[in-house]
Amino acid sequence: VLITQPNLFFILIDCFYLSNHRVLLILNNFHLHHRSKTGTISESDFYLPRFLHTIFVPISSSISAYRRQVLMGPRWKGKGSEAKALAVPISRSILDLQASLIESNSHGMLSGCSVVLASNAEQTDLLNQTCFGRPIITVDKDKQWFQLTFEEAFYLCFSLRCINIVGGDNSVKTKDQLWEYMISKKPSFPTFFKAYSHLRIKNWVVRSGCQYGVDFVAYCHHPSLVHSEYGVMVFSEGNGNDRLRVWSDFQCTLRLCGSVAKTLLILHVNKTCENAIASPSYLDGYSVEERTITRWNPERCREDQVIVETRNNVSRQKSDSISSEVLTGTKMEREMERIGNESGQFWIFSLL
Amino acid sequence: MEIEEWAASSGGSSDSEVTAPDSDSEENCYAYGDLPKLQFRKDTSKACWKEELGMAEIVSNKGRMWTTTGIARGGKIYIFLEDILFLAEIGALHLLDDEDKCIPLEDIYKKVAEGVGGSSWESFEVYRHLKSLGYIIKRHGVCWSVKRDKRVPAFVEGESGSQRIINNGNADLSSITATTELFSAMQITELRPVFDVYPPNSKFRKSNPGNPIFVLCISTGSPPTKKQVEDLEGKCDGVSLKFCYVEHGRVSFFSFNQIELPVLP
Repeated sequence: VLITQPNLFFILIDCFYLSNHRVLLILNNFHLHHRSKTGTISESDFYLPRFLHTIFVPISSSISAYRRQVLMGPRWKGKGSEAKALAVPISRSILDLQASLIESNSHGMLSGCSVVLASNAEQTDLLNQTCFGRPIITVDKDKQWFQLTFEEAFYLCFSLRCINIVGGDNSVKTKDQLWEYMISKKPSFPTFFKAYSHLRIKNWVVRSGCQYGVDFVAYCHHPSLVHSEYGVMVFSEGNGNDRLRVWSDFQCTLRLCGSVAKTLLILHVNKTCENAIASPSYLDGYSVEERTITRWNPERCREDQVIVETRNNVSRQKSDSISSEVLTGTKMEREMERIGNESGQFWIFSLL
Repeated sequence: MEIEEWAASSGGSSDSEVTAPDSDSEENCYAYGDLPKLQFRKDTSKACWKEELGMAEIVSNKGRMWTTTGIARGGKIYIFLEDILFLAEIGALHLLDDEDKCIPLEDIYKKVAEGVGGSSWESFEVYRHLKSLGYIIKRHGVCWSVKRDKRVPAFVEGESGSQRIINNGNADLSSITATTELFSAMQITELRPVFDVYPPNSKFRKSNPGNPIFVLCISTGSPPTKKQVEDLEGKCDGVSLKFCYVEHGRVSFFSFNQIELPVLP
């Protein structure tokens, strides 16, 4: 029995190994005296007891009854990539980068719509590993030069506080000055930056998506190790649908995304105040909602996908054994169908 | 009953999400004179057209399709125009008028063109596409069955709220037609849930259908805005939603799913 919080506990019914270092735990939940407003369990209600955190990382949960979440695991490039990625998570590389830039008192140079930054050997590696900026190939033997986008530069400067940025007159720009400058060059900068930082804060790797007809592409680790999962478009409230206005726009963008195996992700950035944002501190008042737009193909509805469905409290089941069978593809679906018809709730976890 | 996949007309594109090459170049272009023709089946069911309802009442049902088609009221099965046209096209149904004469396909097409009983050509194309693939489809807001001798009044789900039905098949049916009239009168461009779609299931029971895998909204104009999607999701109470549109005989389906990207390690 896993007790996650008072009056909310789960019984482990069964456990399967899936491919890709994932484990499927079948839990049956009893939520006594605990109901959220909608009568369902919200994701924040569920957390693993501490000892399980060392073994599992939940990577999927479905929330309301009958709502399905299609889970596609990250597509790693080649053997060993996933292990490499788990060994050195992006968050750690970013911390190292942050420390190194602070130590060397790094300054970026504002130039048009870019920021040019010099880096030493260690920083070069870290910038490449974390996909901040693009290296500029030069003859300079002493320094490596990178060019950063506004979002990348502002994230390093404002969110991570590890670089300063100077203007043409060599004076360090304050955050408000930078903000004003960047908006003057790119009016949509606030919503784009909010979207960018929304993903970066969750340790996703974010790069430009313009060659794919989208705003950003998001990877769960370095692009050399994993294929990108999402092509991201940023919509702000009010003028959201000026990017995808008619159905052929959808077809176009989805076609582009689909041919490079990315899912189209729309980040809806909602402003809580309508005033022109004079300062980046207003960013806290923005919220971001994530929605994917996917084609559904009725001929291929169930292939290549794992469908996770929750049902509330149906019946009890006991199981003493843990299956050591590896389930993949259609066999996994059949198993989940069978289980789903009987009882319980599905959670998919990744082994750390 | 095996509903075979028909080659012609509203074939869906087979775009895949992964790296498979575009395989939609296999359009079925027929040279003059070689169009296939379907044969009438041996066991053809018969239905009687009820003008006042905009529906047909099954008088003779053959084949196993009736476990998954039509709504049950007072011990009988009633079908909407899309069911009628689908079955008539493939020769599985004879539609009869008051004098027991067979209504020709042309007249059924006319009824759809006129939007009788809340039908439309586009919604029929969507229906036909999914039905051919084996999905089980019901109009949104209509119950699969209402038991004849139910003591408790049956409720008809609907956007206009539930309506108390007298323990009388006819009262229930006329409320259905009232609702469909309402839908027909609505703006054509208004986005609303049209069909409840259930997965292919040989053990399907109208008395216990389970939940649809999704509710389908058909868009005739522009794609939905975020607000429209949210409003519709609110109305459908936890069942997932899909949107589709029909263009030049091709039906495309889309999901707009709310997700939450995980925080990575």
